[in-house]
Amino acid sequence: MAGTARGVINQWFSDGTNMEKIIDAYKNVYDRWAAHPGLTLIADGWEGGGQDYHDGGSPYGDNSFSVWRFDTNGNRDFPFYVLMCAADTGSSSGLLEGSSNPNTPTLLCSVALGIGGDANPWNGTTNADGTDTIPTTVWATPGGGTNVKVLPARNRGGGASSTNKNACAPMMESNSSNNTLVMHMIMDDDHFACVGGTINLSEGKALVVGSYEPNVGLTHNNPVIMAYDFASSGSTLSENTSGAFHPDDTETTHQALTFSLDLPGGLADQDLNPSRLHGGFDTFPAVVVSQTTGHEGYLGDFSHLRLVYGSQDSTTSTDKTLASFGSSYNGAGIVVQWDGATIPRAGRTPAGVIFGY
Amino acid sequence: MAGTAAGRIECAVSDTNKDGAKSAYINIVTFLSAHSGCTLISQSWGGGGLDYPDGGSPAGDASFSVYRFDANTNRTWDWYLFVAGPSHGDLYQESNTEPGTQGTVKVSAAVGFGGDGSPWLGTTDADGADTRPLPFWGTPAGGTGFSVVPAINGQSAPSPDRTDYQVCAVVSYVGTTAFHHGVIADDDTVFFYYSDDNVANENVLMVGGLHGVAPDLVGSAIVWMQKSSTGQWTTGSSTNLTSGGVSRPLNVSAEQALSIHMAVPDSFNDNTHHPNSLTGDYDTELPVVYSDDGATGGAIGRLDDFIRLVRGPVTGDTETGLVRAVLGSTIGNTYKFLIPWDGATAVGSGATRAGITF
Repeated sequence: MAGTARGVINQWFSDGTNMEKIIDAYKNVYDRWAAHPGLTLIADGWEGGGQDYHDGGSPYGDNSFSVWRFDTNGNRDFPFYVLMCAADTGSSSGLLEGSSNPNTPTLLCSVALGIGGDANPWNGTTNADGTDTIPTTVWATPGGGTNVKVLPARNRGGGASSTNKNACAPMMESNSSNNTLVMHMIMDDDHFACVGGTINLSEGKALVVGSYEPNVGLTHNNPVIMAYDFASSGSTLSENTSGAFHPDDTETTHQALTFSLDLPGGLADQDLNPSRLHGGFDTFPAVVVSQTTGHEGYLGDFSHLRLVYGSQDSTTSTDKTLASFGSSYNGAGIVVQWDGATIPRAGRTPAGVIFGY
Repeated sequence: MAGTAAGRIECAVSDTNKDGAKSAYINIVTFLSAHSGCTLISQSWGGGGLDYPDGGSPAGDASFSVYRFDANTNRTWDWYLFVAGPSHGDLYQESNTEPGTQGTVKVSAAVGFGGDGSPWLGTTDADGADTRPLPFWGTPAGGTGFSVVPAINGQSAPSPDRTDYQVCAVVSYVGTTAFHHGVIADDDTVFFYYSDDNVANENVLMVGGLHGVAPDLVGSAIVWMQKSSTGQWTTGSSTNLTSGGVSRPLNVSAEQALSIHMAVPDSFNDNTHHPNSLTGDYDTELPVVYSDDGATGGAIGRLDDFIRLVRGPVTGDTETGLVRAVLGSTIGNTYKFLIPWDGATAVGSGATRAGITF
C-alpha cells in the first residue's frame, strides 16, 4: 500500500429504490474522497439536489457526479483523474457502462490523464460547487497539451468510444430485482478498490484502479491500470471496463491498452490455496501484460493490491487486517487491507464502517 | 542476486568416458573451492590428486568434495553441496547406477535443522583423505532433522530403495564423445550446464538455497534443485524426483523433500509477446517455486535475480555486453535461462578444457 490504507466498508443499502441506493453509495465514497488528504476535487455536480443520502433533507440528484485528481506524492510523480457518477438507467447521465447505457442504476467511474499542458483532461466546468455538468465529450487533451489517455480502453483514439470518451466501468451495480446492495471501498494514496453488488456471494465483482511498478526495461511516465472482473487469471480483460495507459505518451490510437492480470501457474490453482505448508492464503503481485495486438508485452507488476486465488469472497485474515474480495473458489480475487475488526458483510448500516481517517 | 556472480564457462572437454567426467569434476571443484561464500568442508582425491586425467596427480576414482554455502545477508542458515566424480559404485546418478564405462559428475544437496546445522556425516579434514559413510547425509549433531534433494532420496518405494540418500543428479555429459560444460554461481545458487560437443543438446541443473520465501515461511532453511534436460521445459511441470525437489519449509524434520514446480505467469507463455513490442527486449521473469505435493502443496517463494526465465530468444544468445547468456533447451518456443556471463565470451566458442574463469 502507498500511504495510509483507508476506506468505508460494509455499506449496506436495503432501503429505497435502486437509484436511491446508488446515491447513498455515491455519498459514502464522495465523503471519503473529500476527506482524503491526497485527493483534490476538480468538478462537482449535484444535479439539482444537495449532498445528503436519499432520505435526507437535500439528497443528491440522480446522475450526480464528481471529478477528482489523485495528486502526486512521494511514490508517484504524475497525477491521474477519476470521474465518479451515480448514474441512472439509460442515457440520462451521458455515460456508458462499458459498451452501453446502464440498464440499472450504477455507480460508474472512468480514469484519465492529460499529457502536457496542465495535465488536466477534464473537459467540463470546474466550479466544484455542485453546479458543474458532464460535457458530451467527457475527457480531452488539455489546453497546450498533446494527448489524453482514458480508461476503460474503449475510450482510446481508435476505440468505440473515442469521440465522447464517455465509457465507464462499474464501481457498483444495482439489480433489476431491487435487492439489497453491499459495497466496500478501500484506498490508499495511489489506488482504490471497490467491490459491491447484491448480497449474493457469487456476484462479488471487484474494480481496481491505480498505479503499478513498470517493467524495469520499460520507460513509463504514468503506469496506471483499471481492472474490472478479473476472476480468470491470464485472460485479457475487456476494453469496455478495463485498460492500461500506453507507455508511449505520443501514441494516439492505442492510448490505452488491453491487458491480462496474471499469476504464476500454481498460484492460479485453487487446490494450492490455502497453503498446506503454512495454512494461510498465498498472495502474490499480479503481472500486468499488454495484450493489444502489435503492442504486446510485459508492462509490470501490480503489487499494491495483491491477487489471491481460491479464497472465498468476503473472507479475512485471522486478525482481520486483510480481506479478500471478488473471488470464488476457482477464480482470482483481490486482497486489500481491512480495519482489523470488522467481519465483512456483517454490518447493516448505509454509512458502513469508516477506517483510516 | 546474492553477492557477485562467478563462473567457469566454455569448458571444452575432449577426454572421453570416465576421464571426461574426471576432467569436468576437476573444473567444477576447482571453481567451487575458490568461490566466495562457499567453504570446502570435506574432500577425497580417490587416492590420486586434483589434476586432469593426463596430469601429474590425476583425480582418482570415487573422488568427492563437499561444500558449505555459508549463511549471508539473505539467509541465516547454511546449505551443503556434495559433488561426486565417477566410479562411486554405491551412488545412483538419478534413476540409474553409473554405467560400466561411462562416468558422470553428480551432485546432491542438503540442509540440516538445529545443532551445528551440518547434515554431512563424513570426515571434515578437507585434505584429500576424507571418507564418507553411506548414508552421508543425516541429522546434525545436536540437531532435529535434515532434508535432501533430489527429492526421491529417503524413499523406500518404488524400488530401488533410496533410504541411504544415495541419489544424485548428473551435471556432466553422459557419453563417449567430447562435450562442453560450465558452472556459474552466486552466494546462494549454482547453475550447471552441459551438452554434447555441438552445444545443441543443452542440459541445465540448478541447485541452491532459497531465501525469497513467502512471508509465512520466513525462517525456513530451504534447499532446492531443478533440472532442465534437452527438449522443452515447460513452467509448471513437476520436476523429476530423481533430479529435483525442494526441502519441506518450516524446517520440518524427517520429511522427504517435495516435488517442485517453477512457474511464471501464463502470459509469458505466449510467443507473440517476445520480444516485448513495447521495449524491443525480451521480457524476463523470476520464477515462483511451489509444491503441489498432495497434502503439502503451496507456494514456497521466488528465485532472486541470479536465474531469470526468458522465452523466445535463441539458446546461446547474449545480452548486450555479454553480461548474461541464454542457456538451456535449444527448442525455439520454450523457456530458457538467462544467466550471468563473463562480459566477453561468445557462447559455444570455448576451445580449452579448463574453459574461462570469471
